[in-house]
Amino acid sequence: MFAGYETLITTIALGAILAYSFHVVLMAGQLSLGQAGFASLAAYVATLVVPTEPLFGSLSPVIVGLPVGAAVGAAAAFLVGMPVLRLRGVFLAIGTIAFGEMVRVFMNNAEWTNGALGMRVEKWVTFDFAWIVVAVLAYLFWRLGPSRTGRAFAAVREDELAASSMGVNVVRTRMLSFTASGAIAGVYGVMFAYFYGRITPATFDFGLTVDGLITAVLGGYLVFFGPILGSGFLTAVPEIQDAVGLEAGWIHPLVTGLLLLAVILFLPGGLSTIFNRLRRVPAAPDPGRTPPDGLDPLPDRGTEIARLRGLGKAYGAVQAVRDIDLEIRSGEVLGVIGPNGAGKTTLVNMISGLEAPTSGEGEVLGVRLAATGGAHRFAQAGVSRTFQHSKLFDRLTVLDNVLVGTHAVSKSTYLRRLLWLPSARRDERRALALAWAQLERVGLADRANLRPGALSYGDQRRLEIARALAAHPTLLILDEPAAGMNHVEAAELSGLIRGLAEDGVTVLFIEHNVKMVLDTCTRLVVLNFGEVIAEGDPSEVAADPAVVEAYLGTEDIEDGEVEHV
Amino acid sequence: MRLKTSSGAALAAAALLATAACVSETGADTTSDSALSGAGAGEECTIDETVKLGAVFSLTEAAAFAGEYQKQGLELAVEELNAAGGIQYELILEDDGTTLDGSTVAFEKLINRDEVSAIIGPTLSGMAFSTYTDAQSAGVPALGVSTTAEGIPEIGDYIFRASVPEQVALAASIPAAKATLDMQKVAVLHDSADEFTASAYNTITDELRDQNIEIVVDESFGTTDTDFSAQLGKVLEEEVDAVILSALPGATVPLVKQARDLGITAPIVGGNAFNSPVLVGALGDAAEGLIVGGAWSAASETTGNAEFISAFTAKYDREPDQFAAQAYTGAYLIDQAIRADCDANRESIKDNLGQILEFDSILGPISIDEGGEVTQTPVVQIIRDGAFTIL
Repeated sequence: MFAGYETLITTIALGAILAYSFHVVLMAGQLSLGQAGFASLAAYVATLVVPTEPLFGSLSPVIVGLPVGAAVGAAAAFLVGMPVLRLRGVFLAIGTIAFGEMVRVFMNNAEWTNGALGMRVEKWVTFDFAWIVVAVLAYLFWRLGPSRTGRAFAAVREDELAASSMGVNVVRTRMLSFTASGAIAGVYGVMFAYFYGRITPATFDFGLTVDGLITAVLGGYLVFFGPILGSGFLTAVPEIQDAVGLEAGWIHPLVTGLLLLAVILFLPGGLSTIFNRLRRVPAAPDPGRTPPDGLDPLPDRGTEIARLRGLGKAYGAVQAVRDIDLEIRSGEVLGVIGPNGAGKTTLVNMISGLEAPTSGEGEVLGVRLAATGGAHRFAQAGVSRTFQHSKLFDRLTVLDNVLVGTHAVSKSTYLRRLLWLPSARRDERRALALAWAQLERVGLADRANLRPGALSYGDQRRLEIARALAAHPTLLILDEPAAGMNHVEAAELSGLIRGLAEDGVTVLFIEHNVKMVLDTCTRLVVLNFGEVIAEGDPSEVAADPAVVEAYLGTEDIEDGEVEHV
Repeated sequence: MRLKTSSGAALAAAALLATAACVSETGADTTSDSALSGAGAGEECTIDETVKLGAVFSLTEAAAFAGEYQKQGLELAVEELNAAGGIQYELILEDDGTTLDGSTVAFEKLINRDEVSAIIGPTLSGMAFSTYTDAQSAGVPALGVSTTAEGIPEIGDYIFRASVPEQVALAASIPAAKATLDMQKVAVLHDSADEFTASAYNTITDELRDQNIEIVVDESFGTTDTDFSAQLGKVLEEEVDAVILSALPGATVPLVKQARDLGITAPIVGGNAFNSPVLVGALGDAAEGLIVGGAWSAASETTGNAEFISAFTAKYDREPDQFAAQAYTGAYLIDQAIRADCDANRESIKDNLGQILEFDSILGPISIDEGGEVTQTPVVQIIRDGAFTIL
């Protein structure tokens, strides 16, 4: 088919496989640079198990090597991941580079690898074989994108804190992407060995890692075919330069470098940005549809859902919150007010599992407040929240943001999507219906395909609420939801919150807009210097002289000047 | 319905997988082109069609220090051969960027698209191990002009080399140095991360053992190291008659300089990698007393050597080195093989390259046996007063 170009086109396939091993970690926002080490380990181990004769007469023996290579790469990544995945960003990158160097030095000095002289094997990898592996990888990533797991990857990449608040197990997601990266790098190592027929420890050096990273970033890691685009581009550019008669030498790398720079500068999502407008816009489901089924009923009105006893939080010598005794009962709208620095956000961070208390104890929906375990456990138990400063997933559409919210109440669909099982399709439809319902509830359905950055500030707050609602929460925590809203928007929000309470959702919200708090909540807690100074019926609390003195000032609260303290 | 079409697709994919995973057994293409065979023999041979010669060198990146010289040496030879008449050569030169994929892709282009009669190169043995298996299975004769690692000619009957293997060069330089310097105790330093130098290290230790020379210091370092004080410190502690070094030019320059700065006065003996005027220039005074075993010397009085050096210097405004000389010789060897039967088809070149006996080249009399291995007397030189002098 491609007479005279088979080798060239096969190198595109190999480059794409290497890039996929970076693609999968970049998708989850991790900068891992240990792929050369995983590839090296897998390639050398594969040489021990791959038969020297074709299987059953004509089957390529590399078929044995691929699963072995993938398993070796994945196992190595898992073991390395346990200590190094505690690191973030550039520290993770350095930690993984160190691993790659360790493998190189080890292979260089081991006896069975023949040291720097390397090993020679048969060239069993053919053009078709390489492209089938790429096709399988592309298929795996194509099916991953719009699955629950794929959304979890994207959420972790965009904002780990928000992702964990939506029920995504961040540690597991990072480990999953890291292990998958090891497995793909392992496959690459085996393919490399049996395509070039030769491996030396120096083959799997840092340069290889850089090549893979550049290919993955150049192609773009937001769409599944990015690595193929990147690899094709990097291979084609020198060939095209040859074809137009540019002399080899320093001009080639210069032109390639300039093109790379242009792509990075003008196509921030890589080459795949060009294809973004081809994305299918998901249509809103029929208005007459039945509401999504299979959601757990909310607890009966008045059931205790949270109980805090003597809860405190100290940051070193600073006691942010002390001795809080609080019960939250189902169906109430609990307002928390207090001056800046009173400890309101620290309190809700503890209740939603983002921070562990340093004294006292508490239980929210059956989950104990403790240092270990991660915030996603609270989300899965039915706690959902928004943040004081919006933590939206900036590179996802409005709809996709809300879809991440359904994580806690939907089942994993990825493996079933690979097999095209109808049940996966049903589950995805259900998640979509759930998400659309929340968008309609907050009035953002007509902006479903925009990015959060294109929304007004008030709309961003409402989007965050929609995302939190998509988790079908028992307890919804809103941290200053009306900040930046005008009177009309705040009144609408107040109506929305009351409506949620009528549906049985318990709402805990922090707000500075006192009028809105008094209009909305059924119970009010006032914090000052980390302590509860008043608690009870909103109008009574507001009239409490201690509250008036500590927080509202001495002026008459009927005056109306205190609406925006 | 959807399930049906997708399962059909899955079935098709599985079928494709099953067929594509098979190993294809394509034999060498042995068709010959009658326009590539001519009339006459030897000097009188004339071939009407232009003979395409391919070459793959590392013209950029790590091994460009060698590739540039090879390119120039080869171009000079092809120019001379074309001027001599009878056979016209078209040289198709590819850069592999010192990468394995660059090298295999270049070989594919030369073999399948340009359909060359023979290929010269690549620069590095590491790439040759991969590309020569392709040349072998395609049935294209390939001639290495700088691939000195063990096992290259054994890849197949289409694979030849005109580059003296490292062990031969070292085997000559160590006894010569022993005779001149009365070596009894030596220090051996080698780059253990590079396949070329690691292979040379094995040769060095074997040769020293044969010569009953005691190794009192045995140290290694990495290809990109720049500080060798730890290894050289150990050399200083011992009384050694010579230091034997197996390193690439990148490490050789700082290592030799640091050795001299530290006060190591013992002569330093090296292999092929030393054999470059650039190295001597970079080392300056520190180069004094280096002993180098190699395939070619500017000081050799071999046939045509003086003419080669002056033609090269006139054309490129710099002196040739061993890489240039070997590439230059490579073109003459292929010309010789074509003229033997006056046939530039791949099969004929393959048959005749293995028959070259005592061809009088600038490297001295050179032979290639049927196994593809070269036989040539290496030259051992010492740097005295900044110039290579035959020892």
